[in-house]
Amino acid sequence: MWSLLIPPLIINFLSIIEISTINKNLAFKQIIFSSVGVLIFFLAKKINIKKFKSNIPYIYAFFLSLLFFLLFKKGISRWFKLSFLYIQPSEFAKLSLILTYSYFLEKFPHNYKTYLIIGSITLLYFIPTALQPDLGTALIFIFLFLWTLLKVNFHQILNAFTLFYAIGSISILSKKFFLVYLIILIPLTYILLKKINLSIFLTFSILLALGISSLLFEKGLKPYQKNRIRAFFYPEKYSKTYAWQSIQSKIAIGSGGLIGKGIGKGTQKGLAFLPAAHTDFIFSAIVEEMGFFAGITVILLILFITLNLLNLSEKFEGFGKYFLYLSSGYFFMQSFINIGCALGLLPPIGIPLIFSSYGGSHTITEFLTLGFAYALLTQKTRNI
Amino acid sequence: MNNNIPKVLLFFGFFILISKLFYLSILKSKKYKLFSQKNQFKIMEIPGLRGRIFDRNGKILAGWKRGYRIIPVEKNENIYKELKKIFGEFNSRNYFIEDTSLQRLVELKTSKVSEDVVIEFTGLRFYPYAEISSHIVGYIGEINQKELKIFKNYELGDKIGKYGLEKFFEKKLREKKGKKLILTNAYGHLIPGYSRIIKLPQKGDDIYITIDINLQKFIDSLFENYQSGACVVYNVQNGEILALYSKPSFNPNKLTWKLSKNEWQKLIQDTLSPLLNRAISGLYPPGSIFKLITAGIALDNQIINKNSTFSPCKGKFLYGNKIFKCWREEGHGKLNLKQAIVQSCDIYFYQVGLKIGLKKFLKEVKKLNLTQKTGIELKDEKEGFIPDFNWYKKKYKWVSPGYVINLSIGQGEILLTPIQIALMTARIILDSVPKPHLLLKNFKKQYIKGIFSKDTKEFLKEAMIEVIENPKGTGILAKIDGIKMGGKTGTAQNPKGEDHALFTCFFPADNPQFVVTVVVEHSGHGGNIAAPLAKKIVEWLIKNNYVELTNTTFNNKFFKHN
Repeated sequence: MWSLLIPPLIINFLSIIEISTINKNLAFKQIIFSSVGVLIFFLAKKINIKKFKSNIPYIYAFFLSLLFFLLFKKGISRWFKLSFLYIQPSEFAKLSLILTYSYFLEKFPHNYKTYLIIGSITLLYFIPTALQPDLGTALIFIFLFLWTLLKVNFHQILNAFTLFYAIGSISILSKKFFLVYLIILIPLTYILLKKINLSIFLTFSILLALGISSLLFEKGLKPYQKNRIRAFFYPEKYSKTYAWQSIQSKIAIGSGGLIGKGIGKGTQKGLAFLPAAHTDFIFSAIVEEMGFFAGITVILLILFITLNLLNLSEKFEGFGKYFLYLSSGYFFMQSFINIGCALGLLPPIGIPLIFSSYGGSHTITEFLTLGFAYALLTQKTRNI
Repeated sequence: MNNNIPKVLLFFGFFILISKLFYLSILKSKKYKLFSQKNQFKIMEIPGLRGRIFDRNGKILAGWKRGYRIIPVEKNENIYKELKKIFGEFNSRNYFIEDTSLQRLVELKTSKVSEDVVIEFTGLRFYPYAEISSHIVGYIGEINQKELKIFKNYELGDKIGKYGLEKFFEKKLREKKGKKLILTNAYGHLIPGYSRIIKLPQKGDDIYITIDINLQKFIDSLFENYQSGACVVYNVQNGEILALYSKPSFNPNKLTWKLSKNEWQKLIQDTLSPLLNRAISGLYPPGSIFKLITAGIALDNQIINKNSTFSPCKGKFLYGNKIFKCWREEGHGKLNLKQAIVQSCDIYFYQVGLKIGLKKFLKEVKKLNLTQKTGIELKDEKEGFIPDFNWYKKKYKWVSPGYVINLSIGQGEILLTPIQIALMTARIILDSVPKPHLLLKNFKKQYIKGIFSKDTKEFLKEAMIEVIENPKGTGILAKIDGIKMGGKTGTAQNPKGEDHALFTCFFPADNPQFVVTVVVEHSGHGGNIAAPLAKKIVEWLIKNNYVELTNTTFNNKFFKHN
């Protein structure tokens, strides 16, 4: 239990300190969110997973309708207003999707049909979310789907193809990634696919990745999203406009140095050069004020959380195995994209950092996910 | 179904993140620390104070007025627009505004951009005597493209001396700007309380000049009824210029600060040219004053002697088939040289001129260096003009020896500035003359030799005294009871209208201390118009204790009278 809860709480503690230097009021709210999260973590322990499983399709349907409802609501937004609370259903939808995947993977044989179903499930969440437009969360849905495909022993060829597809999609966002993709992963996959003609395979996958990338870029993105991506490739040209966030975030991290500028003394954050310092760029704010050591602490703790879940998943069979594996992927994707943006590896996408960014919906969702993991650990059997 | 790809991806992903973090905050930390400082701090200029200009009695001619300077923190069109709304004119080329209005300051403080500008209190150039001193002191203005190429260490928006002493002593008067760091946030808003001075500004040097502004004011009152003219009061014992007056004038405060395009156009199109300093750049024919030179040349070259006479003056003189008139229609009769100077007979001097001959006359005049600049500390000073024989050759097919007739009485092509006439006067009556200067201290003392031999000098001096003392003298209106002084009238014909009245005089006669030269444009005879003005100026100088009168009887008589 403590290995599940302690690392998130440390990250949470660091970020609340950081938020408090920006706005004491927000820090206070975040404390409440986290406390609710921890409470839910312990409450979730009482869930009988076997009985709970049958509700999963309804949960999926409930969030699907919420996502569509948001789309047709007056004044498109990501939030629901519930008296004084703002609820962001797309955050909860991530957990709902993990649960649904696990449900289907356990229930149905692993064949093309099942993958088609899972793909459709993902698409149904993806469409309203992408239209909101909340590209960040929509991308997480896609990555979760790919993460799922990666794990199952479906067919080696398809497996490698999936891997390529996954990395290829990231390469939409980054030229640097595309290079890494070519240099490291092609020979790696080649080892996996000794039997297949290399040249055909290479041509096919590169064309596919490029095709998807350009198609997505041309048709699927809003002008401001395109500009962000352009700015990522040509930061000098857009340094005062679209690349502003990226550059300022890099300055914040770089100027923090080994031990940081001191808590509350960050000039990038304090003088408003760093945008969204309490939400999307909380990592940059932490590093600016507490330095490289704090940054590496956060990264290693998240590595521990994800690795821990991944290792736990191997001890389970059925639903539990899939759920733990997928939640590890969920935390990994979420953190990698967020920190990647902060470090300037990716264009600013707008995804909260787990257990860290200010916000109730994602904090509670993340604690709830851990709560399910906790519940699984406390069940009598490892085959759930 | 256990494969290791996810785990590899996990490690790989976090490895990338850690490497980049290491790269940014360890390897490139110095660079980003610099960036973050550049983000926050901006270097601002602190305006300094331009040196002041004082008159000989310590009265401020160019000083400061309380004002403030508004500097936008950022080069931002929105800020410029808002500032334009408040201040009317705002040139975005120029990144600051200087202003004195409290109302506008309050408006600025309560406007949207109040946090986007730095307000510095400063002294703004102010000329308390405005028009009275403008031709000497000059004015400053924003540097233009042409000046930017010539002068180093200037930027657009800087002020630079444009005219007068402000221009001549630009280097000395100019302040050294200071620098300070200010802290701004991402929106360019100033964070108060964080500014740090890097370099304090330095005030420019003050200058004391020889002018007596009260005398200048007095002369202005004398010119009340005349449209235009000039006046020079020159201390020939030490070279100090006490007054350098030119009318019409302009308001330098307007030219330095707010002058609309219309007003500027009006100023430069004015037919009276208020921007011309007539005392140093107004070119006038010296008229009969030049008879002193003609006489001097003739005497020094032994062409005539003091007792030489010519055919008597009957008001007209025939040369070839041309008639040359004397100013006195009824004629002067038979005169000797001194009488001819005292009564300013034209016909006598026509004949002196002819006797010298055009070529010789021009050669001798050239030797005297009358047209060179006096070297006064003002940039606009002009050289005079006296043609040489080649000039005539180029202009006319046949050079008539008769051209000397006009030249001998200071008409025709001869042109001199009032200050050159003043210097000429001093050189006629003295062996050695200190050149005129405006700086009271730390100037280079330069002497220029007198023009004529000792005998000739004494003779001309006596003649000039008689011009005023003799009842027949043309300068009789300059006579002050109890004061002995010498002078010479001049009446310069000009094609544009009424004659210019000229008068130049020196006093006290026994030990010349001052030369006063007066030019009144388009007003009539020198003796009638200019001489009475010179008299009043001399009286003023005596009353204000500028003259040491050696003979007390003169003194008593003078003061009793006045």
